[in-house]
Amino acid sequence: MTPVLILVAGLLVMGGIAAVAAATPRLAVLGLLLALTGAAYVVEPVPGPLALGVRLAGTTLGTYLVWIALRRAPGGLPASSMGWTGSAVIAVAAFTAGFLAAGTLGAALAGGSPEGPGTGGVASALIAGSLVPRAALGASLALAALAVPQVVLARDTLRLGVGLMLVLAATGLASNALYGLPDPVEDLALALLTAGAGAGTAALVAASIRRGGELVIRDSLRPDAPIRHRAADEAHRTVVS
Amino acid sequence: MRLLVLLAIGMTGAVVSAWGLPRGGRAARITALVGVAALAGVTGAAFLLRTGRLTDTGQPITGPFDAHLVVTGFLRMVVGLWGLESLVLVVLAVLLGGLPRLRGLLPATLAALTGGTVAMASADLAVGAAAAAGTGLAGLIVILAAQGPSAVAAGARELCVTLATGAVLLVAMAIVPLAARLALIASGVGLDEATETASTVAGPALGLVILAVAAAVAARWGMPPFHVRVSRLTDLVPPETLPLLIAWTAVPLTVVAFAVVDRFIAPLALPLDGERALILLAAVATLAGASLAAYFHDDLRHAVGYLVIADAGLLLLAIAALDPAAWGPGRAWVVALAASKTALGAWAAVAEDRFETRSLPELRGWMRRSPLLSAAAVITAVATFGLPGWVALQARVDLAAGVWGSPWGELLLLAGFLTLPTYLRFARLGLGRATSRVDRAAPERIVRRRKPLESLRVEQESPAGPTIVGGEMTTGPMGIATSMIRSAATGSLAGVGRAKAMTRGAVASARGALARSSPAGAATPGQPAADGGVPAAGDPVVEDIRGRDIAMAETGAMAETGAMAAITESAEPADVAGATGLRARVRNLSRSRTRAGMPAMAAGFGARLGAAGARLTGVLRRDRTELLSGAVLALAILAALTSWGALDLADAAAEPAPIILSGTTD
Repeated sequence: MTPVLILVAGLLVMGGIAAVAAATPRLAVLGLLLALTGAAYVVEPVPGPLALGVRLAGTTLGTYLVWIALRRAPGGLPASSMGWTGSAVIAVAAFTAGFLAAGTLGAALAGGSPEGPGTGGVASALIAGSLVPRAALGASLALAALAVPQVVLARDTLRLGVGLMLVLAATGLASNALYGLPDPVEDLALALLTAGAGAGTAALVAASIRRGGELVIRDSLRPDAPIRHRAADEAHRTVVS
Repeated sequence: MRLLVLLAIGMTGAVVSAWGLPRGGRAARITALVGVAALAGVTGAAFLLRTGRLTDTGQPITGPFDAHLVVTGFLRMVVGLWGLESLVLVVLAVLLGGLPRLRGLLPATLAALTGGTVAMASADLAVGAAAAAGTGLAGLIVILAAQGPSAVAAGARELCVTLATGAVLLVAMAIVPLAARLALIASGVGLDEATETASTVAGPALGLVILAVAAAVAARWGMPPFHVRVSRLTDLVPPETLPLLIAWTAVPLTVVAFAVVDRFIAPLALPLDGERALILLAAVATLAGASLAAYFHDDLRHAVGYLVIADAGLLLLAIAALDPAAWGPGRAWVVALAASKTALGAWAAVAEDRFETRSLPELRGWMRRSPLLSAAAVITAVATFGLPGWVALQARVDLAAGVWGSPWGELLLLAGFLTLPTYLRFARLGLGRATSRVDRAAPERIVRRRKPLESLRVEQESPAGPTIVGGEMTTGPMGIATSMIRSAATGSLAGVGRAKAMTRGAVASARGALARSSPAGAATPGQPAADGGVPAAGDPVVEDIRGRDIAMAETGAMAETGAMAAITESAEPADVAGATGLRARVRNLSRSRTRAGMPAMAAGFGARLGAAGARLTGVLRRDRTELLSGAVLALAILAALTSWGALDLADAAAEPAPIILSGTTD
C-alpha cells in the first residue's frame, strides 16, 4: 500500500502544478480536483470508506461549483506568474524538503526516552519510520509553495480561489503527517469547509464574470489596471514575439 | 435537540432568504418574512438552550451530536445576543431602504449565526476552526450583492482572509502537539541526538505557532497591516451590514483561537518572551494607530471602522498573556466589543441616512436635532469603555495587567482609552452650530400623539356641535360619516387598496350629500355650517348613520356588502353621482368575492392582515425618524447591558470550553 500512496502523493502534486500553471480555466479546475482528491488518501492508516466518501463528496461538490461558475468564463487565463516549468521546479524542491524534514522529525521523535510518556498517538506512523507521512508532509509543502503566491499575489479570481483550496488541502496533508489519522468528524468538517471554499470561489468567479466579463481582479483605486499588473513582462513578450 | 432545532432553523432561513430576496416582488416579501421569522426563531432557541444536563446516573447528556457539539452558557449568551442585535439591525435596514437592504444582510446573518454556533459549540478544536472559517464565508453574500465596482476585489480579500485564517488555525493545531513532544524531549528525556534536534525545533516551532495564531486574529479583525480590507469594505457595503462583517463574523474565530492558546500552548509554560513581546508591540501599534486614524478621519464610516480595529487590539493581549487567567477576560471583551460596535455601526448608518452625508465636519450640530440619537451615542460610548464595576472595564484592566505587569499594564490600559478623543470629537461636533445639512434634516418629534380615530366614535354623542381636531370635523353627522366610513374601510373585507379608494369616494360623496342635505346651507369640511348649526338630531340621514354606527360597534365586524351598502344608503341622495358609482363598485366587489368562492373567514383574516400592514406601513413612513433613532437606542442599551454584565457575562466567559476530544492525552 505504501508505494501506491506515495504515487498518489506525486499525482496530487502534479495536479497542484496543473492548477496553478494551466492556461485555461477548465484545466486548472481539473488539476485542483486531482490535488484535492488525492489529499484525502495520503495518510497512514488509510481512512475508512465513510471518511473517504465524505472527503470525496466535499471535494467533488466544491470543484463542481467552480466548474459551473466558469460556464461563461473567457477561454484563457492571465499568464501564470511561474509557468509550468517554474511551478514544477518549486513543487519538486518543496516536496523534497518536506520529505527530508519529515524524516529528521521522525527520528527526533523516535529518540525519546522509552521510559518517558508516550506520544499519545501523535505522529505514530512518522515515528515508526513509515514513508507515507513523509510523502504527505512533502506534498503538503509542495502544495503550499504552489498556492501561497497565488493567494498573496492574486491577479485573477480563479487562481485566488484555487490557491486557497490548495492551501486547505495542504493543511489536511500536514495534519495527516504530523498528527495522524483524523477523527471522522474532523474529516466531515474539512469536507464541508472544502465545499464551502468551492462555493465561495464559485461565487467570486461568477461575480467577476458578470460584472466585467473577465476573471481579473481590479483594484478600486485603479479601476482600469489589474492588481500587480506585470507590465514589464508583458512588454518583453510583445517585443520578442 | 434544541441545538439541532436552532441549527436547522438558521440554515433553512438562510437558504430560503438567499434564494427569494434577490427575486424581488412577492417572493422577496414572503422570503423576507420567513427569514425574519427564522432569525427570531434562532434567537428564541438560543435563549432556550439548556446547559450542563445530566442523566439519572450523573453522566452528561450528549444529545444528538454525541458530545461533538456541547451547549454552554457562553454559547447561549453569545448566540442570543447576536440574534437580538441582528433582529434590530434587520428592522433598521428595512427602515433605511426597504426590502432591497435585506438582500445581503438577512441571509448572511442567518448563515453566520449557524456557522458561529457550530464553531463555539464544538468540542473538537479542528471542527471549531473549520466552522469558524466557514462562518466568515457568509460575508461574501453581502459583499458580492453590493453594487460598487470594487465588489469583486473586496470579495477576493474577504475570501482570502477567511480561508487563510482558518487554515492557519488548523495547521497550528497539527503542529502544537508535535512541538510539545519535542519540547519534552529537548528537556533531556531522550537520546542525545534527539535532544539536540528537538531543542532546535521545539522552541521556534511553538513560537511560530503563537505568532501565527495572533496574526490570524489580527487579520480577521482588520488590524494593521490587514486594515485595507476593512477600509475598502466601509466604502462598499451598506453601513448597517458593517457590524456583521467586521465584528460578529470575527467572534467565532477569535473564540476558537483563544481555545487553541488556552488548551495547547499556555499549559506548556514555555519561555516565549520574544514572541509575546512581538504580539504586544502589534497590540500597541493597533491601539495607537487605529485610534489616531479614527480621530483624524473625516469620513464617518472610516472613523467607525478604525474604532472597531482599535478596540479589537485588546484581543491580542489575551493571546500574548499565554496565561489561562486571560481566558475569561478575553472572551468577555470579545462579546462586549461586538455588542458595542454593533450599536456604533447602527448609529453611523442612521446619522449618514438622516443628514445625507458621511463627512464629519458637515455633521456639526447633529446632537441638537436628534436627542434620541444623541442619547444612543452617549450610551454606546459608555458601553465601549465601561464604568467601574462593569464587566467590560474589568476585562480591559485584566487584559492589560495580564501581559507583563506594572508599569506596562498601566500603559496598556491607557492605550485602550485612546479611542476616547474620537468619541469626544463626535460630541463636540454634535453640540456645535448646525450646518445647513443638519438644519434641513428631519428632526425627531418627541410629541404626544393624538388619539386614534376609532376611539373618537364614542365621543360623537356630544350635542354641542362639531368638534374640530387636526383640521377635521370629528363630531356631528359629518364626523360620524367620516369616521364610520374610515372604520368601514379599515375593517372592510374588501382589501386595503380597494378600501382606500372606496373610502375616499365615500367620504367625498357623504360630505357632499350631507352638505346638500343641511337645512342651513353647505357645510365645508372642517367648518361648522354657515348658520353655526348642524343637522338636527331627527334628521333621517343622521339617524340612519348613527344607528348603523351603533350596530357596527356592537358587533365589532360587518359583512362586506352590508357595510358598504349601509354607507352608500346613508350617504346617498338620489342625485349624487359619486354615491351611485360607489354602490356599483360595491356591487361588483361583492360579485367578485362570490365568484372567487373565498371563504368569508379567510378573506376576513387576509383583509384585516392587509389593513394592519397598511397601518404599519403608514406608521413606519410617518415615524421613520423616531423609529430609526429608537432602534439605535435599543442597540445601545443592549450594548450597555452587555458591558455591565447582563446575562451573567463574566461567569459565562470564564467557564471552560468543552474541549474534550482534541489534543494529546498524555
